[in-house]
Amino acid sequence: MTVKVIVKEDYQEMSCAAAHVVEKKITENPQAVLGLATGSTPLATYKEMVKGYKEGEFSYRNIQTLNLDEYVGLDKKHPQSYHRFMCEHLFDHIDIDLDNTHIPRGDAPDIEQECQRYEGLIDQIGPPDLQILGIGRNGHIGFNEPGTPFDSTTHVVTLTESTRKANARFFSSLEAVPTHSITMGICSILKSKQILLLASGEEKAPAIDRLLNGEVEEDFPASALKNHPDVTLIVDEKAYQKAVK
Amino acid sequence: MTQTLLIKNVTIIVENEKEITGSLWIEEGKIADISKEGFSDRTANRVIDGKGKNWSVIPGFIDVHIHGAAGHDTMDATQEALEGIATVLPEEGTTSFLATTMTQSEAAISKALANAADYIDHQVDGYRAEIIGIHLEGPFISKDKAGAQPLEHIIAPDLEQFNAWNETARQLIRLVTIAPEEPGALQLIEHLSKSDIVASIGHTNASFAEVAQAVEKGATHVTHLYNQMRGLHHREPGALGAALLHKELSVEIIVDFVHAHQEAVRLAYEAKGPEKMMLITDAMRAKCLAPGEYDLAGQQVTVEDNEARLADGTIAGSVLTLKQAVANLKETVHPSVYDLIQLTSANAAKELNVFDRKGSISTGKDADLVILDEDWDVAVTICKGTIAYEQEGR
Repeated sequence: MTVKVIVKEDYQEMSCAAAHVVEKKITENPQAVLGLATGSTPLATYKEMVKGYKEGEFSYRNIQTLNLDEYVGLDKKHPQSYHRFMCEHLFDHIDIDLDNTHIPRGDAPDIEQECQRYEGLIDQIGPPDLQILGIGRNGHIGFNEPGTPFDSTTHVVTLTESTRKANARFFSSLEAVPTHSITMGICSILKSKQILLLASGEEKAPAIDRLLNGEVEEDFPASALKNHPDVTLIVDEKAYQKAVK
Repeated sequence: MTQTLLIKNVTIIVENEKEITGSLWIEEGKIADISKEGFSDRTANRVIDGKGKNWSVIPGFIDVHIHGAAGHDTMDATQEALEGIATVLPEEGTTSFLATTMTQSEAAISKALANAADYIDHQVDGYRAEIIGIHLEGPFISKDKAGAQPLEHIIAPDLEQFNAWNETARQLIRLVTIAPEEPGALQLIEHLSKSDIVASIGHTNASFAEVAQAVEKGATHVTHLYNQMRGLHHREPGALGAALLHKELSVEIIVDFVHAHQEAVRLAYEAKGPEKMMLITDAMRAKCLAPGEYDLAGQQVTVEDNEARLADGTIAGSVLTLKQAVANLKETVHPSVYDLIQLTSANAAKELNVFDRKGSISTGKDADLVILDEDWDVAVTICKGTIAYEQEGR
């Protein structure tokens, strides 16, 4: 399968296009299940979705959501938790029912059991009709770093030193940064009916190049998306430039 | 924010009114409505129900003197440091604060000021305490009363230097600590007073008469009463005597029972009354860190329950939280909740000219709120209508 590619001028245009895809989906199916991601890439997409809601055009009242990942050890009130992130950037500003939003529980007493529960939940209410996804510079999707088996389901990941360092800014010290995360596996992500991959900025250019022109291999997790029948990549010019050369 | 928040079955300490038992309706981050009857006709995005819990809703705390927390310090001069401080403070009930600098080189202070101004210009509403300005503590202080402020960077009060810094800070300096006995101090105090910036007497060896002069020029505030100021002697009542006596002066106080004895806190409260006193933390980056050994900005610091000390035993700054200060004040002077909110919120809001939007519960004001449980511990903190902190197990 080939990845459908939409090139937009910049980050803002990319985000508007992504929001339109979401809004089209929830209009067709007001009970749709959306797969959501955190990080800086989808921020403006969420902003656009909030704008669309505020202008009275779209409603999320009966939408369900499944998030990709969460830090192990952080409860949902922790300022750096992905629960907090989603509330702050999206859920607080739209009419979604919080009971319909699902994020792995980082503070579950038995984290292995939580992985099973969450994978079961994906099958039970999902899989997502539309999954929003970002891509790491090394091709990671969710917290699935290079080498993650393509048949992986929701699992616990030991964070690499570089990931922890990159996230240390908002914690009191490097020691306070969580050492593990819980993430949907690659197989779980591929269960989604449609995948919307977003990439913006020069730093993502090598990853987009490798995704579009490289091999499908576990060393580059995002390449698994090529095994999926319905993937759309929305990319800005800076992130796309290398891929066309 | 379209988010609506309903707080029901609580006691609400409403500005200029007796407390009411009822509900608060919050919309777009503001207090939209207060009612005894409740809002059964409306549906909120979020609901906090205090039924059977004996909760009181008071204005969020304002800390006019705080350097850092959770490993971060204003002098780090990074956006992450200020964001780190702002996101952790709701845990102790603080919803607004002055990012406080300390005595350092001209360049280091400039960098911290420029960074704070950038942060304030772009700060996001909700889930974090709001930085409502900058407190410049030093370098215009006395070498005799430097405390933890490094001697080599202390300089005489200098109007030109201040103006340059306030330019760098995009006019966001709201409070300046000055030793009024130093040359040039009175001129600077007069300038601040005319510019609606709070002139605060602190880190000072001033005599009673020198403080009186500063008050005449417009000083209205005292930086951490008792600490780093000339004490009271019956033949020369000193800066402390003047601070306690002058009704024009509001005093900051660190109620951790480390910086001042419990009975000294009582004495100050008797002298100043709730209208002229403010709880502050003066906290540094070790606050909110688990007990242990830390390397903080090159210094080895041991953090224990309520203090942080250098290897030689010197107090390395406060690790006090405002909610602990509230608990300590409660057992010391047993204030009414009305008196309490003057010390935690209203006095500071009035002094900093933000009382039109903060410092009390009144419709139209920012929904910066603290919900106290029956022991006056912080159960919930609300920043601009968002639930920024909830006590475990609530």
